[in-house]
Amino acid sequence: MELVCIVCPVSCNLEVVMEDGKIKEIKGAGCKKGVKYAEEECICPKRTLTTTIRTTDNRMVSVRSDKPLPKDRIFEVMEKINKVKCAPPVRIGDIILEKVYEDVNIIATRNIG
Amino acid sequence: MQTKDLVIIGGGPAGMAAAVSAYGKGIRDLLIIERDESLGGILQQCIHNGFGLHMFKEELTGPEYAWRYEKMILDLGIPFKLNSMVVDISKDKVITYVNEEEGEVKIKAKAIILAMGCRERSRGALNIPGTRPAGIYTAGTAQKFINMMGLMVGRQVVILGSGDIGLIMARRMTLEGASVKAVCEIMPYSSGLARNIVQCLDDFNIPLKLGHTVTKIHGKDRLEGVTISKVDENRRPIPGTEEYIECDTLLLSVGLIPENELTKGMGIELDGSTKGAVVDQNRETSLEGVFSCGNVLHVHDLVDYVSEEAYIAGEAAARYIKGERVKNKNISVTASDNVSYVVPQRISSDNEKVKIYFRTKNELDNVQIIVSDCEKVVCKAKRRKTKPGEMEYVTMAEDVLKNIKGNEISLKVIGE
Repeated sequence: MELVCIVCPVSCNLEVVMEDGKIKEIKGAGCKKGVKYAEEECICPKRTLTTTIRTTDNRMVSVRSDKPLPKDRIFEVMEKINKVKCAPPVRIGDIILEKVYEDVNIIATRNIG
Repeated sequence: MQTKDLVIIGGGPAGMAAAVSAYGKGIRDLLIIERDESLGGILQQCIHNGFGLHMFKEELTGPEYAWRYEKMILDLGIPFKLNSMVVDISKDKVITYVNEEEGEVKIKAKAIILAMGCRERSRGALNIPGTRPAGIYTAGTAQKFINMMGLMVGRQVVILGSGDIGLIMARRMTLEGASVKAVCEIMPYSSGLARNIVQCLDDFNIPLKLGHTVTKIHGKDRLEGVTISKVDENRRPIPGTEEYIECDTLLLSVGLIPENELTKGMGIELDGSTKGAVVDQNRETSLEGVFSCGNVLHVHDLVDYVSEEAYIAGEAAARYIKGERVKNKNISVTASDNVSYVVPQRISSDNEKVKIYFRTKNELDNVQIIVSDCEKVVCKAKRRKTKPGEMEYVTMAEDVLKNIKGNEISLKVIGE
């Protein structure tokens, strides 16, 4: 299987050699993170989600998941996020939504006074 | 008239890093002038992650990266003015800015760092035929509406241009419930990062149509659809390949242009390829004591490189103010075979090694980078691959610089 690594902007071309449904070898990764990405991408592809949440006084707080989420849960989590508003003040790193999926939290990436 | 040692025009990533670096070199009488209501520039609306891997060794979102520098500015007590627009800079470094509280103010500076960033090419610059309905935005404008103001711009989207902002917006619109019908790219390759094609298009099954462009806009009041066509090798639409796509929104991600109106007003020499100032290794322009860095100098792929360049300009401005700047060479650097541009375009000192940044015109494999002094090769480097969308560099050591006899060196690239 051929993959493009998304860990960093170098975007290494990865090749995953499978044997009997298991990973035999990962070629082309420029760093260890790339190897880990390729493994995960074959088993359960994950992505960091970034979006916004509205404050109760109608401003926008940018947020992200504090860990990567399984790719096929992204829209489910978006629905949860879209249902809530948060009260200012908000500081970078504040948990806005706890455990949106397993142990993944949604945290603020902007300060709102 | 007020005076300052250093005035920095623009409080985005370039301006903030330049200020931090000049402060670090002992400059205390400095001021950042920013036209927006907060520091951070375009990073504030770039809520996606992928910033800071080089600079901070971790993956940050745009606002988080901006905050790292804003915090440094606040902690150091570097003064800045918000909501203040610089309208003119004279050749003798008198800066005129306006804001609501002070009206028009003039400041005389010993040194100036230009860090105004860039703006997007618009529909007017593209000459797409058809009507002029609502629903056509540059990708960055749509990004501001959605991420900063919480306003959705449309539901059925076509994106023209596959630069990184276009790709990022394809994902963003999809996450917010829109249907992105296609991303059209006139070139046979995308200028965006491969990781963004994967995580912004492939993840959501959004088709990337390479070698296609929008040839007609349909709709009277609101956009109703676009016609797209294949293009030939000269980027001209091929008749008979037209395809109609129904959509209410067209996003344009068709290039960024350094915003150099103030620079032009000062009579500073500009480079026709970068659309930014011609600079030396210190990022000093043709006007002594005026420096330029970040996207106003040339459009960067990564903010980390903007910060890095701003450190160079900030330190050099500090040396200039303290009278410690050395000029002992006058070498021009020119872009030769396969190279679309080089920065810096001049080398004025052999005291320190110089990194020459450049972009190649095409995608190349097994690349050799060659710097020559007349016919003599003075510096060489290798790369596995180069792409026009990814800035490259070659480092010239001090001893190499000291041995250059001529007043012109050229950089060329050979590849397959």
